[in-house]
Order: sequence, then structure tokens, then C-alpha cells
Amino acid sequence: MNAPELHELFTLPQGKNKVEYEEDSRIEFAGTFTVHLEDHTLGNIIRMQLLQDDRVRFAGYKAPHPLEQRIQVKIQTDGQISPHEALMNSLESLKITFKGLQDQFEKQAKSI
Amino acid sequence: MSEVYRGRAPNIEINKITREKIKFTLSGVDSSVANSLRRVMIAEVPTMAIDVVHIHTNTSSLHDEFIAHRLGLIPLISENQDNYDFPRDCKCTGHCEHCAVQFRLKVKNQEGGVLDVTSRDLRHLSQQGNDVRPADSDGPILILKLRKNQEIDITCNARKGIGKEHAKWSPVATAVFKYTPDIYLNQQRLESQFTAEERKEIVNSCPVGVYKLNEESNIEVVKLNKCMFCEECMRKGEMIITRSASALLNVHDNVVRVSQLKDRFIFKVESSGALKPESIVSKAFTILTKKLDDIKQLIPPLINTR
Repeated sequence: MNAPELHELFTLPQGKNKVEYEEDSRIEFAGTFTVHLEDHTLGNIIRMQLLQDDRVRFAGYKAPHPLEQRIQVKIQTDGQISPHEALMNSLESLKITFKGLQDQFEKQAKSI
Repeated sequence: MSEVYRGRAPNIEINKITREKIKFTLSGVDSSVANSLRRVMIAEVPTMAIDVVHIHTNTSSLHDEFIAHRLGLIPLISENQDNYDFPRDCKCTGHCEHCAVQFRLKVKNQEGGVLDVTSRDLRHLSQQGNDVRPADSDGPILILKLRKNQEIDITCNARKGIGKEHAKWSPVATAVFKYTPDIYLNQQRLESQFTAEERKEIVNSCPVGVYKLNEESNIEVVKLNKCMFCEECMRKGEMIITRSASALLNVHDNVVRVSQLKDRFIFKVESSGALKPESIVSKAFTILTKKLDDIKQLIPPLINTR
């Protein structure tokens, strides 16, 4: 009866952007990114990638509710870079990782 | 909680491909990467499946929604799914050749006896869309049975979708990964302190046959990847040692130790028939890359509006 609508899986909630940022009111160089329509698939890899950056002091993610299609990524840096840059860098290196793996995989699949 | 991985370069190696199955080893990455790959293969690689069903006549013994559900679960060959749009993205209202493939199922049993209605009775309504057809090369898929004078007449649309919405769109039957087993055998002690009979006991303790006795009746690991970490061999070794020494045993004193290499993942992916196993994996990579890219594109405006 109170099941979420199917379209909520694919369409952004009204008036929301795909990625939203809220600066932390108490801590310097810290903030929370809310990414709509994503889940643990991306949340976990982004967090693990952020943690590999020495300039990132804290990185964590949560999916606040299993029926709400959004995740929150909280980042605190040491001030050398902003949370934005930290997130950008980690997304870029993840992209490179996956691209590299895909190229390797396709090359092998073709030769078999 | 898994530890942060800082190590070798990411690597992927295909071990085996058959028509419906693929096995590969992913290494040099964190378990989160392996898990996202698995999750995307299960829930986000699109395929085609029958989604909208119009039932004109149904005098069979199964009710309408039951048949509609069964039609939905038939895997359709979706190698050309890139040529189709998701219904929600398509400009048309209802359905068109860009977002749907129409089938008709019209069968009547006129001869008596029991007539099987299978996926082979599904006919395309128009010429185009012939690339999307039931994946039934291993034999027709039974939909329902008709007795004399029973009849069904159904038109249905196959549409593109993802497993997140309904499992019928998931291209995989199984998509799992496990850590690579690492088995340590203290051969020196096995030879000096164990009898051949006791070594055989350890070999036989493994339910999946990882070990074998070689000609010199020494233990050999022959099927490492079969190991499922049940630790029966460790328990057996421990038992044999304590039988003679009657002392509490430190794990490191054991002659057999099974552990996991936490940066090497053995994947096993079985296709439902909709996509070739290798295209499932490579599409999963494409989707992951696209997701990351989408987010990346959407971050910069935030900096400007701060």
C-alpha cells in the first residue's frame, strides 16, 4: 500500500539536482555530497577510493533509507584540497581503473 | 570492514568462457570494486523482456496474470539492446519500433490430447525486431498446456529494462565472487610426523576434493579454486596432532592452513541466455564508467554556486 512508486527508481525528485553539496557548519574543509538515484554500488567504491588519498581526513557514505534512492558521501580534507577536488580525483581514478580493466577484459575476450 | 587497498595494478584475467558461463579473476583492486561490478551485472545491465501483455482470448486453465508473468520471465536475446530506448526515454506515447518489439501468441488446440504452448509459438508482429527473440536454442521454453478446444490469443510487447526494476530484466542467473584460497601445507612435518594413513585422512576430509595423494603418498593441492573455506582439512589436521600430543593447538602450529587472498577475486557469472557472458561483463564496466562520469560532470557547478 505504501510501496514507493516505480518511477522513483529512475527520475530525480522534483527540484533536486543529481549531486548536491552541503558544507559542514562546524568543521573546516568538510561537507556532505548527496547523490540522488545511486546506491551502495557507487557509494562504497567512492568511499574506498577517497580513503586512499592521504589528504582526505575522513570519508564515509551512507544510504539513509533503503527505499529512498540516494546516498550521502561525507568528506573532510586536511585543507590542501577541497572536498570537491577530493571527490573529483577519486571519481577520475576509479574511471581509469574501470576503463583499464574493461580494455584488458575485451582484449582477452576477443582472443579466446 | 575491509582495509584500504594500496597495492598492485588492477588486473583481470579470463579463466574460462563457455556459451552460458564465464569465470575470471580480478586482482589488484579493493573488494568494493569487485562488489560494484557484481551488483551492476545483477541489477543494472539492461536486457529486453516481455513487459506489456494484452490478452484477447484465454480459455486455458491458467489465469491471465499467471500467463503474463510467465511470458515476462522468458529470456529474450538482447545483444542488440543498444538499438532500443528505455520506454521512459522514448519520445513516443505507448510504444513504437524504437522502444518495443511486439509478439503474438495465438494457439488453439483443435486436435485433442494435450498441446504444449512454448516460446517457439511466439511470432513477431512486424518484420523489424527479429534480432530480439526468445533465447531457446537449448529447446523450447514451455509456457502453458492446452486441452481440446482451449485457446489463447495474446499480443505482448518486449521492452528494455534493468534488473533493479524487475528481476526478469537481469541478464545473469548467477553472479558471484569469492576470495582466492591460499593453502599452506607444512610438508616437512606432514612427512616426518604423519603416517601415510593420516595424510590420506586429511585428503579425504575435503568435501570438494582440493587435495590428492601423489605417488610418494604426499599431499598435493590439485584443485585450489574448488576450495570453499570449510576448514575441514584444518580441523582434521588439528585433530590428528592433538590425538598424539594432547595439547591445545596454536593455529600456526597446524600442518594445514587455509586463508584468503583478499585482493584476488574469483568471479563466476552465468548468463540467463539474454546476453553472452562476456558482453555482460564488458557492459557492466561501461555502465560503471558512465555512472562515475555522470556524477563527475555534475560536480563543477556546485563550486561556482558556493
